[in-house]
Amino acid sequence: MGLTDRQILFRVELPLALPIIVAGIRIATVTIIGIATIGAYINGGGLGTLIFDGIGRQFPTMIIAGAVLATALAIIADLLLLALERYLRPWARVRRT
Amino acid sequence: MLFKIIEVYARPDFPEKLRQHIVLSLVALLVAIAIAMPVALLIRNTRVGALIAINIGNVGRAVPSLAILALALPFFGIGFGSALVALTALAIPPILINASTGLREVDKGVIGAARGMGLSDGQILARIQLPIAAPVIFAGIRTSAVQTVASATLATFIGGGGLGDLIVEGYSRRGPEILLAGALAVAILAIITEIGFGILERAFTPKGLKIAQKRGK
Repeated sequence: MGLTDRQILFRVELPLALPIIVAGIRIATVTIIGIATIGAYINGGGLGTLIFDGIGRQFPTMIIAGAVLATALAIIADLLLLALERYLRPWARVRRT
Repeated sequence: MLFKIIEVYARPDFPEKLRQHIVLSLVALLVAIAIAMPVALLIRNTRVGALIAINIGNVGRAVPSLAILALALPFFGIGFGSALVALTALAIPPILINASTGLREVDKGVIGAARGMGLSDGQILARIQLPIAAPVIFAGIRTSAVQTVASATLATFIGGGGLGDLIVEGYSRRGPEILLAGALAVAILAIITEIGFGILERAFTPKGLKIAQKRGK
C-alpha cells in the first residue's frame, strides 16, 4: 500500500503491539507501587510508613490501613492503564466472540 | 570493600541465614504449587472459574509483598512460620494465573481431535493439555520463584530470618559491608533461581512444541 517504514511502525506495528506493551507497563506499575512501601524503611516516606510503624508498635489496624491503601493504589493505577488501553484501541471494543 | 564483604560471608551465622532464606523460599514455592495447580486443573474447563481465578490472581499481585508479610504478623505472630504463610500467599498468584491461562489456551481443535481419537478426559489432560501448557505453567512458577526469593528478604521485618537479617543489621549498625553482603547474596540467589527455572522450563517443553516454535519463527 506504499507505506514507509515509519508509517508501518506508527500505523500498524505499534497499534498491534499496544496490548502487550500496556500489559508490561501494568505489571511494572503494580510491582513498583508494592515495592515503594519498602522505601519507608530507608526513610523514603510513603504508605510503607504505616506498615513499618504498625509492625513496630504491634498495632494491626495501622498495618491493615497501610496495606489496604497501598493495594487500592496499585489496583486503581492498574485499572486506569487498562482504561487507557481501551481508549487507545477503539477497534478492540467491538465485542469479540 | 570487597574483602570486607567476603569477611561477612565467612561469619559463622551466614550459612544459617542463607539456609533459612532458601528453606523459606523453597517451602513457600512448593506449597504454593500444591495449592495453585489443583485449583487450575479443577477450573480448566469452566469460563467463570478461570475468570475468577485470574481476577483473584491479579488482586493478589497488587497487594504489596511487605503488606502481606506485615498482615501475617497479627494472625500468626512473630517468626519463621508467619513469614512462610505470607510468602506462600505471595507465591500463589503468578502460578495460578499462568496455569489457568496456559490450560485454557490449548487449541480447542487439538482437544477435539484427541476426543475423536477416543481419549478420556484424564488422558486429554495428561497427554494433551498439560504438555502443551507446560511452558506457560513453568514460566509462572519461575516468576513466582524469583519473586519469592526476593520477598523472603522482607521476612526479617517479622522475625522470619533469612538474608534480610544482614541488610537490616548493616543498615541499623551503619555497616555498609554487611548490608551489601546481604543484598548481593539475595541478588545472586535470585539470578540462580531465574536461570535454574529457565533450564527446567526448557526441559519440560515437549519436543514437538519446540519444533513448532522454531517453524513459527
